[in-house]
Amino acid sequence: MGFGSAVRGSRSRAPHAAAAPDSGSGAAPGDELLAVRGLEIEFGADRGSGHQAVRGIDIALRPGRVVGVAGESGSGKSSLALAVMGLLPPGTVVRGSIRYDGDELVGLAEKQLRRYRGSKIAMVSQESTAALNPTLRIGQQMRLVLRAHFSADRGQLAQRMVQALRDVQLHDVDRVLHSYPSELSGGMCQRVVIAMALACGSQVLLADEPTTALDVTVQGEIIRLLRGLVAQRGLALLMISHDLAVLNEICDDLVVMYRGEVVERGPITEVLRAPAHPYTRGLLNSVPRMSNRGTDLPTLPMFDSAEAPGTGCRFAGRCAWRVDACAERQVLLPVPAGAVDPARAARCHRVDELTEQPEGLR
Amino acid sequence: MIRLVGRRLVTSVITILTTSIVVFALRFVLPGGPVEDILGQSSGVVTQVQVDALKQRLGLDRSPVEQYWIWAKGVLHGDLGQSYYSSEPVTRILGQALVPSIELIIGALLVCVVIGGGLGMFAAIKRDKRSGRIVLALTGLGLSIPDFWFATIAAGVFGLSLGIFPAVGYNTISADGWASNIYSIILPVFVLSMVTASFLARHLYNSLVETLDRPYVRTAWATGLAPRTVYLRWALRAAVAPVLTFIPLAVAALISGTVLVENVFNIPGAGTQIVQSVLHQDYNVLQAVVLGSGVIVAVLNLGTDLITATIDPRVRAHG
Repeated sequence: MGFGSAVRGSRSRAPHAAAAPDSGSGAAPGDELLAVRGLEIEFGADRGSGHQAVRGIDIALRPGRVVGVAGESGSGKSSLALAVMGLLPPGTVVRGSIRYDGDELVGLAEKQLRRYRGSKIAMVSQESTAALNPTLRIGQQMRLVLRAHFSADRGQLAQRMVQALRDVQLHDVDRVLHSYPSELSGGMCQRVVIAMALACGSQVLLADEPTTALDVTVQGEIIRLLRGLVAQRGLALLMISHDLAVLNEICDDLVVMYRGEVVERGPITEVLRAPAHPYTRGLLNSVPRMSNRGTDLPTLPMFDSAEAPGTGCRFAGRCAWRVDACAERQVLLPVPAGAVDPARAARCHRVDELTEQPEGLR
Repeated sequence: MIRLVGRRLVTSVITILTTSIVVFALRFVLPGGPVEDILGQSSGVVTQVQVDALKQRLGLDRSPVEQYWIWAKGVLHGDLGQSYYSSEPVTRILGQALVPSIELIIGALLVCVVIGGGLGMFAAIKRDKRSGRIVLALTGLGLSIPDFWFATIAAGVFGLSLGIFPAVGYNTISADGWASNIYSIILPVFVLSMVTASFLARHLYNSLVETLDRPYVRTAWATGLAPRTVYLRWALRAAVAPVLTFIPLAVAALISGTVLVENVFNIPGAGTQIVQSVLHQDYNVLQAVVLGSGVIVAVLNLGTDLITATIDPRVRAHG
């Protein structure tokens, strides 16, 4: 699935394009709950000076599976989630296709989109405390959310609220319902946010840096909670993060984004074991480890944001593996070592060499 | 919460006390005085004996502290003294003058909250649309048009040229009935409220625009709430709290606005009375009006603080 259409989305003339194998992971396209195809997002297109934040992205979410999206700020990973929710700022142009269970969402009117938001597709964002209304008690906020999707009497709504909070392993439910967000800890707030997102039965959850603002212990708890929800409810989870360690804890598949493009994808264990794109390698090398204590962490060269994305590889300016061919844009190529899993791909001309030299960066 | 109430109550009492002292001090700072004013009206030579006799009769020969003490005791007993000018009790003069003024202020406050608040909300919700920008520009215009100019123009256009409303004058409830009374103050009320309504509209606009960009409003959209719910139930509550603190300020602005509006529209209210009492150096009346306004603003401040604390837990925590 995803991979084959990635080629379509990239619109390349490269001869390799046709060689892209169809996706595996043993899943038929039929069980895709959310399918993003050839997604392009352009900001400020109405003012003439369009900035393309995302170009040609394919992602598929299946029940019980977790797809991770990694990338630095500005890579377009949050725009991706907002596009699925239909919450991009006015004047943003979205092209391509976003299907929920077969229904096309791109181009839907605001009113029709609301039937999906919160009851089919839910989103959790980074700022756990700031994501809740400071002037309403948790119970009041949850009641408003539930009432948007169900017509039930107060008693039934209260029951649902209690159940939703129990589902995210909050115990002191009564106290939580009567509290203002400022009276709860960051971790509790994030649980409430997740409970609110899932209270109306959403089967797709887009989690945008859900653990970033939390301390490490709480981070672990939230990840365990999400993992549990995926396993028990068959939730389809999209986990967006800049933190590969966090993603490694929970994801089945990983998508690495760089300046609006997918640069590498595949099963997360494979991608992290043998990254086949110089950018992924750079990200991985800059993760602190106990084994390289005391030495300076390798960093990627600074990114010059003023530099216009030319026709060639968008990473070329920072890449140690750059060759002349990089002036031309590359499509997602199958990673040879990934023969085990055909969904494995990287957007680099030198993908073959990179796979031959797993530790060869520098 | 009880500590908050206690603290704000003490502040209010101190404010009122300070106001009364400042107000009373004014009579010793201003040149001239009631004695000169009263005696100056009778033609002929004024002797020092006459001046001393009048000063003694009015109690103006005592020390300032003593005078203040006598006045303050009277105020606490509900006796605001007598007018030096007409010898009428100040309470009676005020009782008559306050009715039109309070009518004007309440009417204008309603216009400010309903129309000003409505326009501010509209501009914020439609901030990306042309309609929103036009409304915002109108409130900017309302804020920058000089009120004395607008008052005269409104009286001229709607009162004299179009003849929709009476250009000047005030019809009392007792003599002319409710309908006639309200009809006669519609124009003054709108003139009075223009600046303050624009002021409130802009404050609500700013606060609401800021609130609508907050992550928790995105949460509301992401959970599929309808726009009505997002704006009215979710965002407005958070946005209105900082605007509420401006209500006492708005009332203060309206009180001082009555001076102008009552004079332009020839309404016999407290604003007109204040101008006359200044002209006649009629300190007792002047003091009473200013002190009364001070008490109203202090009480409103207290009330607003308590309301804000009730709807916004953040204030309660830090109050």
